[in-house]
This record gives sequence, C-alpha cells and structure tokens, in this order.
Amino acid sequence: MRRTIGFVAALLIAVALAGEAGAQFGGDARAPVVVTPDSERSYRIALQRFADVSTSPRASRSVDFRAALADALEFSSVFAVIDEKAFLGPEVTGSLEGGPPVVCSDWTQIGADGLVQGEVAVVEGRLGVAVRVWDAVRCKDVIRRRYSQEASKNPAIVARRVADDIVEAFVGVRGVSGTEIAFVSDRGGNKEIYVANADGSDARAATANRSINNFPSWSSDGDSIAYTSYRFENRPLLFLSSRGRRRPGRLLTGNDRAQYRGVFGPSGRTLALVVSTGTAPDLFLSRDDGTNLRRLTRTRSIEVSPTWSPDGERLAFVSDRTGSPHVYMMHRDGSNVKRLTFDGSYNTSPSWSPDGRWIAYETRVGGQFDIWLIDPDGSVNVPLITHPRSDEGPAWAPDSRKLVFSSTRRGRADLYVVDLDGSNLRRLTQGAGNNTSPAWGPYPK
Amino acid sequence: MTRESFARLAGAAILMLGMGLMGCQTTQDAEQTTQPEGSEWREAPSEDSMRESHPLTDLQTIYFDFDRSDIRPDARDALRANADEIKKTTGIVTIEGHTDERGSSEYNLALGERRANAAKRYLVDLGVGSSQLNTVSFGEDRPAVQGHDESAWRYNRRAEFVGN
Repeated sequence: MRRTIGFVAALLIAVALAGEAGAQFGGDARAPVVVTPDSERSYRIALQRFADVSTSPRASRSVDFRAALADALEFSSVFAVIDEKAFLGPEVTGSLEGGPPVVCSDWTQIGADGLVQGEVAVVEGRLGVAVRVWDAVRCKDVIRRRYSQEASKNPAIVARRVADDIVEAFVGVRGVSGTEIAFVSDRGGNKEIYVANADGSDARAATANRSINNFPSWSSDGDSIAYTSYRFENRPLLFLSSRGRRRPGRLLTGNDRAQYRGVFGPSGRTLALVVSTGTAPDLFLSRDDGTNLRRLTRTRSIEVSPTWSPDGERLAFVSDRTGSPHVYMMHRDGSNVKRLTFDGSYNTSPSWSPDGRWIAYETRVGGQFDIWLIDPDGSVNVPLITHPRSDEGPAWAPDSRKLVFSSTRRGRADLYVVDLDGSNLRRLTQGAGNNTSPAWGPYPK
Repeated sequence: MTRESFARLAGAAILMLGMGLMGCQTTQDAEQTTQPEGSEWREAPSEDSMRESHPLTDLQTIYFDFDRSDIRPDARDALRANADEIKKTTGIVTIEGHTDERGSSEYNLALGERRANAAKRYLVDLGVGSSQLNTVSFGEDRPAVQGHDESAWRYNRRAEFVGN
C-alpha cells in the first residue's frame, strides 16, 4: 500500500517538474473537431474504476468517482462513455506505473478511442487523484496528472476538473463541466440571483434581499457578479456580489438615474452599463468599481443589452432607434455604430461568443421567441433554437461550444444548455420557479 | 407664504432629511464589509425603503399596446382624471411603467420607463407640476394579472399612478 501511495506522489512530482505536462500532451493530441448536426459523440472513452490506494480504502469511493467523471465527460458532448460491462480489459486500474502494460487492442476492439486509468487516495484530510489517459488508437498516453482537494469537499469537483482536462487533450479546447452559471430564479418567491454548476447541480443563492434582482454578469476572474436590484428605495440600481477581493455593495453611487444593467468587459476592469438619461436608457462605460462614468450613446431611443467582443474593442447592443428593437454594434468609444439585424421586428438579448465568431440573440417569430446566431459581419444568420414555445436570453460558455438559455417549453421558464449545432439539449433547472437571465461564468482559476 | 407653498417646503425638508439618513446608512454599510474572505457569495445588507406608499386617491391605471409607449386614445380620460386629482394636492406621485412578460426583460425595463415617461409628459401637458411626478420601471417583474396569454398581458402593459 505504501508503495502505491509513493507512486501517486511520484506522479505528482513528475507532473510538477514537467510543468503543464498535460497541456503538452494535449498539444500532441488530435486536431479540434467540429461537431456537425446529428453527429454521434466524437469519441468513445472507457473509464476504469480508479484503484483506491488509501490506507482504509472504500469501494464506494472508486465507484462514485467513476460515476462523477462519467457525468462530467458526458456533459462535454464530446465523449460517449463505454459501459464497463463491455470491457475486455480490466474494469479497475491495477497500477498506474510499473504494473502490467495497457493492452491497447483490448480497448480499440470495443471501439474505445480513449482509456482513463487512475488512483484515488484520502491521505491526511486530502483527496488525491492520479490520472493517466490513453489515446487507445495510437497506444500512447496523453495525460499523466495528479489532482487534490480537501477530502471534505464533493469528489465531483475534482472529477469535473479531470474531465475538462481530458476534453482539452482530445479536442484542444478545455471542457466546461467545472464552470458555473449564474441566473435569476423566483423559486423562493422573489427574483434572486443564484449560482449553480454548469450541469445545474448545487444551485445556491447569491442574493437574498427579497426585492427584485436581475441580470447577473460575471467578472472575468469569476470572483464577482454585477446585478441589478430594487433592494434600495424600490428602484433599479446596480450592485456587486463578491466572493473575492472586490467589495460587495452599490456601484455607481454618484448616479441617481435608474440603472438597469452592468456587464463586465473581458479584462474585468471595465463595465458596460445601461443607465437611464431621463427619456430612455443609454449605454455607458465605467471602471469595475463604478467610477469614471463615460457616456457612449446619446439618443432618445432605447439602448440596452451591451455585450463585449472578446478583445474588448467593440460592443453589440440593442437599440430601437428605427422604431423596433434590433441588434447594433459599435466601437467601445461609441463610434462606428452599425446595424447588424434587419430581419423581423424584434431582435434582442445579443451575446457575443468568447471566440468572437457569433452573436447569439433572440428574435420574435409570430408570438414566440427563437434564438438565432449571426456573425459579426452580418453575412451569416442562422437559427439555433426554434420551438413553438419561447426560447430567450442566450449566454455562451467560455469554450464557445455551448450556450445556456431560458425556455418556457415546459410551462414555467427553465434553463437549458445546448451545443453550438443545436444538439445535446439538456435541462438544468427542474421546475423550481421561473429561471431566467443566465450568465455563464469563466473557467475556474 | 401660502398654505400650499409651506406644505411644499415642509415636504421637501422631510424628503431631504430622509435622504440624509439614507446617505449615512450607505456609508455605514460600506464600512461593515471590509476584508472579504472565503468563497461564499456576499451582498450588502438589505435596506428598506424609507417611505411607505399611501394612495393619493383612486388614480386610474392606463394600458398600452405591445412594444408601444404612445398614449392610447382610451387612456386620455383616465389621464385627465388623474391630472385633476394630483393638481388638488401637493403630494408626490410615482408613475410605475410595466410591460407584459414577453420578450427581453432588459428591453422591457426600458419600455416600462418609456411608458412611465409618456404618462408623465401627458400629465405635465395637462398642467401637473413635474416636481410632483416620479417615474420608475418594473418591466415585466410586477404583473397585475398572472397568466400567459393576451387576457393577462393586456392588463400588464400599463402605467400605474401611486400616490405617496
């Protein structure tokens, strides 16, 4: 037993010496895939149950960890996890190093593109996990890495980190199962801000002030959420909730107009703001603490819903300057305003993908709302979600491969995640109140 | 000094006092939240509104068409009646703009503001002092009628007049 724990430690040291060893292996992996509509999962992967090398091993530890890892890999939409009953090779990892070599043909014969082996151990209050991932076709390992966290924490947290690294090794873009989604829910009677894991699990309240709270926006470091609240004087003002160094409380304290929304820019140092100017809201910029307010638009029409280009140089937004709401773009200083949508009479809620390629938005079709994608040139404009009920408020995952949106297809508004190609639709909320205005958080640090 | 202007001055003094108190509260709250640590989400402590609402009288609600903020012909009588009531007093009226649940909730906030502003402009044109009129938008968040079709929506696209 001691010898095996030594291997876990040795692996940790090896990985530490190699720096981001997994990332190097990842660079050697296959080229990124584009998942086309109706395609099957790109890769089939076999997960061995990890050997529990603790001094007091528990069978459930390995079983639970495998289940959490399988869930996180399935969430990626990249992998199909092979049922272990189909295995020709061992169901449990024997030993990561020094044991019998992996027989790759055992795995390629059952159609596996990848094999995940590992060890888990609880030592001195910490859960340690060592992982080795094989490209079964090339019979070559692509990840050797060790992870650890406090043993009291949910093992699924580290399982999601492992899964997201495996996704990166195979497709070149890190998985997002370890990220979080902020949203608005009235499940407790009032609209409050909640934060849940990307798969919808573990939803917890970020506000509890029993007024109306809306429009969460993440800082790029994931430490803070700007939101709009009626908690003070029963009018909409901007606030910050924080679990990091930023101070929670009111933003824009020097401004007495109605403040409708704050959206963090990609640098985390700038907010794009929607503030009333007496006739209708206009767009502004400020520093992330709400100081140094600068006005970007000067119109009598409505300007709302700013969304940043990934380089922070441009904003897409909604204006009804023609009489009905459409999506526009401009430079961050307010210059070079350009109309982007021309079809229909109601296009709102733009969200610029982190890779810059698409702007998702909602459009009114008949009496309902669908979600479409338009490229920043306006030359490609395609439907993403069309359904007889309303689908609204799209927001991108940090990998630009998934979006979250809210839909009334089951009556009350629930959140759904979908792939860029419209496949792998997955409901995140389970009918507790109305769930709206999702914002997908950044990659964890 | 007329009785009315005295009442106005007194009202303004009370309002300023209230704002002063709120200013203190905000400062205190800011000082309480130093050195945040840990991973729990925190927000500033709740602050209750300083004033309770008391209806001025029976001010009438007016209604709007979808994605519109222009005053409909059938709303003019209600606005005239409201203007007459408000002009009898020195009270402050908050005009609340509301929308139905459809569409972008952020755009709906803006639309609600525009409806409240349209109603305010109409009252000012009828001779109500603009200092007696505040506006606030609740967008789609305070529906008057629950429901997911036009029978509810038509009553939710509205401006309400709340006397303080």
